[in-house]
Amino acid sequence: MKVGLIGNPNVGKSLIFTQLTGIGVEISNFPGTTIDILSGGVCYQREIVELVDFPGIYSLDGTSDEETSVRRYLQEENIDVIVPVLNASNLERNLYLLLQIAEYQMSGVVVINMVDESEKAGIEIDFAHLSDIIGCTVIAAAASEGRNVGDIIPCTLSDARKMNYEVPYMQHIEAAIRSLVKIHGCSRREALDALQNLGTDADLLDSASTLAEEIEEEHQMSVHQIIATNRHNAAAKIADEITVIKDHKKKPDLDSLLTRAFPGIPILIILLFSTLMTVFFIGSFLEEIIVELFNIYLIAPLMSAGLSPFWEQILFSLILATQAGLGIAFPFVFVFYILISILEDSGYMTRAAFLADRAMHHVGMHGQALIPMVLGLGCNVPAIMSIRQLSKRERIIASFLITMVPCSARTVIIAGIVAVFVGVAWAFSIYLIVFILIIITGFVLAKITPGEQFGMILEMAPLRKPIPMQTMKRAWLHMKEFLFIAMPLLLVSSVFLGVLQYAGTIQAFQDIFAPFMEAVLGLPSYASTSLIFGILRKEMAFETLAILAGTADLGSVMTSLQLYVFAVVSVLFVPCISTIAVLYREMGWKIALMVSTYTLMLGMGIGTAINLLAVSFL
Amino acid sequence: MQTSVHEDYLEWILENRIESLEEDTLEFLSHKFNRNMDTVRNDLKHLENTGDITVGPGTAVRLTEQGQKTAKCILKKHKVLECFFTEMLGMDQNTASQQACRMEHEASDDTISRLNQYLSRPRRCKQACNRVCGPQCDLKSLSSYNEKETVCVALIRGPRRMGRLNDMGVIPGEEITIQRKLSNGSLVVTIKGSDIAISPEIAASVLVEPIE
Ligand SMILES: Nc1nc2c(ncn2[C@@H]2O[C@H](COP(=O)(O)OP(=O)(O)OP(=O)(O)O)[C@@H](O)[C@H]2O)c(=O)[nH]1
Ligand SMILES: [Mg+2]
Repeated sequence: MKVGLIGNPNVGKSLIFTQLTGIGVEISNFPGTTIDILSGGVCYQREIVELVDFPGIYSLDGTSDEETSVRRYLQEENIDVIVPVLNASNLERNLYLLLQIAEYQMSGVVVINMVDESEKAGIEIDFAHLSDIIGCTVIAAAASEGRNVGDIIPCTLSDARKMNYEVPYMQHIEAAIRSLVKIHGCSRREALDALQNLGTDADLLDSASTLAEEIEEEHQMSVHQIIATNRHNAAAKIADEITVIKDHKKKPDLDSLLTRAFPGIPILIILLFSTLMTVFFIGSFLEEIIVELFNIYLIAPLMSAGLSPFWEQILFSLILATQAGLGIAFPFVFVFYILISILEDSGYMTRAAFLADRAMHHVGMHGQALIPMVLGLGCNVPAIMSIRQLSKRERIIASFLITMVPCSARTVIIAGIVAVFVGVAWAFSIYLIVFILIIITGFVLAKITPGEQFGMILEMAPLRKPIPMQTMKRAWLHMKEFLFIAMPLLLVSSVFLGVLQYAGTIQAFQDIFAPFMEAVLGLPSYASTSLIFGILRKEMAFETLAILAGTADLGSVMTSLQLYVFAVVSVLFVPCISTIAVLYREMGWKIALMVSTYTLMLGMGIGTAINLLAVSFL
Repeated sequence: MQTSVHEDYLEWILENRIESLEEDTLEFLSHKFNRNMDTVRNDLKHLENTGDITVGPGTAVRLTEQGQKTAKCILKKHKVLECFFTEMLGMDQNTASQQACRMEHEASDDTISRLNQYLSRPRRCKQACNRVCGPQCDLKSLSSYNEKETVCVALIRGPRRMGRLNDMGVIPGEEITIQRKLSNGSLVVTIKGSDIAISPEIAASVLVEPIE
């Protein structure tokens, strides 16, 4: 049996999905977290139920990517029971979508989520009455507390009933529906879709467009607008009947601080700055401890064990890789994700997007694109996936800019190499360089990218106190990816590297690139190998550097300038392989190739410039 | 005296900017409303008693604040109805005016304001609109209002992507409150209980009118 969770963005669908299936998915407090339709199994009384988590949508007849994909899924895949999830504290707007879902005439169970918040706000909802109106069971839930979430699956199995509410449309629309149904034998919903030019039946669309034109001429409004108005009116009526606002409690108005230019913008800057600072400080503190432990308890014993040179080389590479992986990436990546999760769960991201809207226009995008950019600070891959909400032109620009955003793996390089061995101020200067390059690139792209620019329409997420448990879970979700995908890759390639190094192949390879690396970037020859490994995963540039240099204490083998140039080049140059892959999937090979070439040239160019400038002036 | 006649007097005084009641004006009135001179005099007395007009010194006459309000309201109804009859139904001016004269007393304020909104859309009621609805037609974009103001959506211009706005509840007749406006024009508005951030260029395509 297949059950679909559907609803407005940010109502808690993914949280319910996670609680029911146990599959860890992205849950965060801004609209548009879930991008792909995802399904998972739930076992209940020996029956397997396939649960589907949809991206949040505002309507089933919209034209945006996520709306189109959900509509197609509903029409083409067989969903047995649909579970609309509504936000109790914003019922009226949520009912609008519910009325549309009801038009699909599927069996369903309605979940009203976030009743904890509506109760706090003094809103009383008559769930039984709603159940009467809509014709199916209504469950009042609060997913964050786990309240009644367990009832959903049993209810879909035993108590799913067909939703049977019909929105009364304006007479002309009703007349058009009647004639379409009569002539083409389609359903009421198909007729409504066809009037809005949606659907695949050419004949139906043809007659519908004639009718639609007439109606639009008569009313001077688009059919979609008329239908939307009728639905909103019906939703308002139902909301009115089933809700009573008991006492109007005033919430503390934090927005008067957060969304004003002052002090909102200083707060935004301080938040981002202190996030990076915290990552640097906590990260390097933990790192020192872990590296020290490895040195004392693993590396020293190995060196004094007197193994054969081959095995010593292999084991040494393995230990160094683990040391670099756990000891250096772990503290930075984990701390970073905890902080980012706190920021996301608090609902602050939408405020930041609002404040940045105008500034983002200068780089050819709008405020909503700030969210992928900030996500990019974590990892470029999900960030690039979430640009689907932007227009075509903005997506092209965003592909370039997001790949330039220093992700957590690159933070590892900046923090682990520059902050530790050169200085924290220098580490920040890399962010500054990248930031300036992003702005310049954006400026230029905004001028030359074809296509139309649209503005932002973004629902503000409610401000909430992040729940520590949930924050840790999310940070862990990202860490898991690191531990189970990156670490094995790292270990395998370190053994590989060890063998190659033992055989002298690496030396031969490096000899080819050495002259260039020496002359232009001023880097030791093994740096070229690390940079190549950096394409696999960014932090591996750093880790292999440690392996090839033969020590995690890079300060002892390279000068500050060399370390700085190495960090700048590996931060800028060519996105990692997964980013290239996701760029290819989302945007096509042309953009993927263009982005890779551009960043490659940028990295080499800036690295050369810094090196030559420093050499000639210092 | 019926309310309709009562209202007609006030409307007439306002429309024709009557400042004094000479003998011939009274005659004209008796003819217009089809009542004899004495009744007209009585009627005017009655108007004075209800506090809608003040008479004197001499033949001078003036609408009181209350009278002015009633008169304006009726006059607006008359014009909106007349506009509808001539422009939308294609009736001739005279019949339209006569019909409007009868219906203006029965139509509720809500009916008239809805009708007016309907007429206010562009391409409708072209020249007549400016004459009849006056400032009502002068829709302004959402971006021309300030923080904490509540306005009523009249019309959404622009491309299909605006469908998102409709779905979020920006539909004609809906009230929206501006929560925040930055100096660069970005807005946060409350629509149907949720806060939505919109770019200046989107705000510019939403035409609204103030709520009286
Ligand atoms: N207070 C409260 N918060 C909740 C509840 N359910 C979910 N949340 C929070 O609401 C936010 C959004 O949850 P998600 O599960 O990501 O929402 P979604 O519907 O999947 O959102 P999209 O993927 O963007 O469509 C998260 O921060 C949750 O912690 C609830 O019952 N009460
Ligand atoms: Mg989700």
